[in-house]
Amino acid sequence: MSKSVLETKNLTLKFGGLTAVADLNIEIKEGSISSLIGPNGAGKTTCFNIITGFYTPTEGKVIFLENDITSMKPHDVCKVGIARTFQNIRLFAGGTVLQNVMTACWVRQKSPWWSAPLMLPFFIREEREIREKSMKLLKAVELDHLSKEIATGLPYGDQRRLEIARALATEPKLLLLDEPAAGMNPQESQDLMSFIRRIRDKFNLTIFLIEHDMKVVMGISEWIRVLDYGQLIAEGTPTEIRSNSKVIEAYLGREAVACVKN
Amino acid sequence: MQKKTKVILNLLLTLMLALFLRWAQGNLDGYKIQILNLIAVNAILALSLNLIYGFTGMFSLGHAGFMAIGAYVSAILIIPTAQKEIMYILEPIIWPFSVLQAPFFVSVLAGGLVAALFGLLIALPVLRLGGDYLGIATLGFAEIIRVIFTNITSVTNGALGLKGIPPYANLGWNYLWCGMTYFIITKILSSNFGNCLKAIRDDEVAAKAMGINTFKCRAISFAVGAFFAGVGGALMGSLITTIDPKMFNFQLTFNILMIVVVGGLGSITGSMVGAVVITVLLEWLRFLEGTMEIGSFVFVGIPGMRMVIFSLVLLLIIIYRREGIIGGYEFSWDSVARLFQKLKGGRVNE
Repeated sequence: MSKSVLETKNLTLKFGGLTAVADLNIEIKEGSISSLIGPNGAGKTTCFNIITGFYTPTEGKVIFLENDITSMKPHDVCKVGIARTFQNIRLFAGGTVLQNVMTACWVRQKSPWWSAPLMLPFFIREEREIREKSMKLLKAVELDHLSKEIATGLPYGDQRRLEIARALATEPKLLLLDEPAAGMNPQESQDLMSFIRRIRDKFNLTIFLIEHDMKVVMGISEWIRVLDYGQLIAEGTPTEIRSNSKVIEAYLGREAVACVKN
Repeated sequence: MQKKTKVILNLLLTLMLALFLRWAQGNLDGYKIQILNLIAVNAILALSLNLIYGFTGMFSLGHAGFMAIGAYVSAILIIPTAQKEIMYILEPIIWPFSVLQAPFFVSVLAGGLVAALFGLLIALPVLRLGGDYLGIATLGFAEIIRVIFTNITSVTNGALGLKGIPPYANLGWNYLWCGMTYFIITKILSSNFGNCLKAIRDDEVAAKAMGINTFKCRAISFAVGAFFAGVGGALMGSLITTIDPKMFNFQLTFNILMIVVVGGLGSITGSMVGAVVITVLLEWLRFLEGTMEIGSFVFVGIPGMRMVIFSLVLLLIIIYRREGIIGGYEFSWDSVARLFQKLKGGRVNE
């Protein structure tokens, strides 16, 4: 059995009277591709926001590689090795494709800011290395020919891949993808699935994703967790989830469960 | 274009500027030299504000405050001890300010450093605010500095201000500092740290998620901006040779903000061009305030008329060219080469 990368223990987040995430216990195995699904407003993105440090949970803990990261700031969470993408793409609008990826390398950059005006040799060397590393990453996501374009001018699918490349530049161990297939046509989401598998193998990643596109979810996940009203209602392999009555009820309502059973 | 060629071209350009300044020092009258001096100082101030506002996205209106700090620190360091004793008539100047002395370069550096220190101090509480709130808080800071400087008479000579500051700030010093400011800010912005600053401006949430300590980066940018604002203030003090707290009011911040916006937010070239255009325009438009004769009509000048025209010009720029004169464009030798090739009718060689 491989070891777990991320664990949440009794994770709870309350916004006033609303419980967004309730008593969530999940464990993500190293090297796996697993997903988090659930109806709109189930608390999936909130869960991501807690893991990445944007929200502090009311109760519970987040354990990453045996370290407690519960109250860490987002930039520190990134530094320990968790990177994410966003549901509504958040690229740095003013920068080029290359600059977007280079920016994300800052978290691993050793030379301090003041070495820039002094033009110290190790600074110049490191900047060159970062440029090369970023170009390599862009090549890995097949965007290297667009490196000088303004990031937000790219087609939608390319922007998604750029966002993933940017996340990879922070050298993560765990990659959180928030609806990577949103707005893609069937062919594009098909490509995306093989793309995600490819980067998992190439960069030794563990991938945890939120997705609504059931074809993608069923096709790519080794393990699926279902969230409804902030609670984990089921988890299992794709086949198990497909026939789980609780899941069908959450998505389609009680009558549908009766229909399926008959 | 090769890197070596660019370095040579940069050196040539610097040399040409130096020769021009040398010529100007000897051959131009005092008024024109003063305008050239003001261009350099304004360029320093505009660059520093552009770093804070244009590149890091922090709407700061505290520039006059930093300038005041820089100007006073530098002035106290370069005014001779004997003169200080005579000048402080309300209350005698207290130790150690009464005896502190430094060469001009060191005094300007000290002015910048003290301004940067204050920048860091106010960054801690104020940078948690965003957008317009930050603007109001920094504006408040500048006003507080002004009031404090009016009231600590034993250090600043209060409302009387400091007079007879040695006029060391000649063309050489001003353009040296201007060149250093340009070099340092360009180097910072073209490094990966510069990418981070722009990333914070474009999307703070994404910047945080990508591991950028946004608060730290913003504080650094703010302090560097404050440093050069202090340097600009110090040079201006020595250039005008007299400073008093009233001089560092909101109007001063506004003038710099205007240069930055007219030149182009987030464009180094824009700030340089803006500094030249606005400084020259402000002086040139003075003819509107004098008496004019057109044919047999005699127009008596109205004081303040140039500001009306000036505001109109600003209005037109904001309406028809919101991104500023230069926009997001930056000067580079590559684009100059491309332009030449286009003019020759040859094919553009990337």
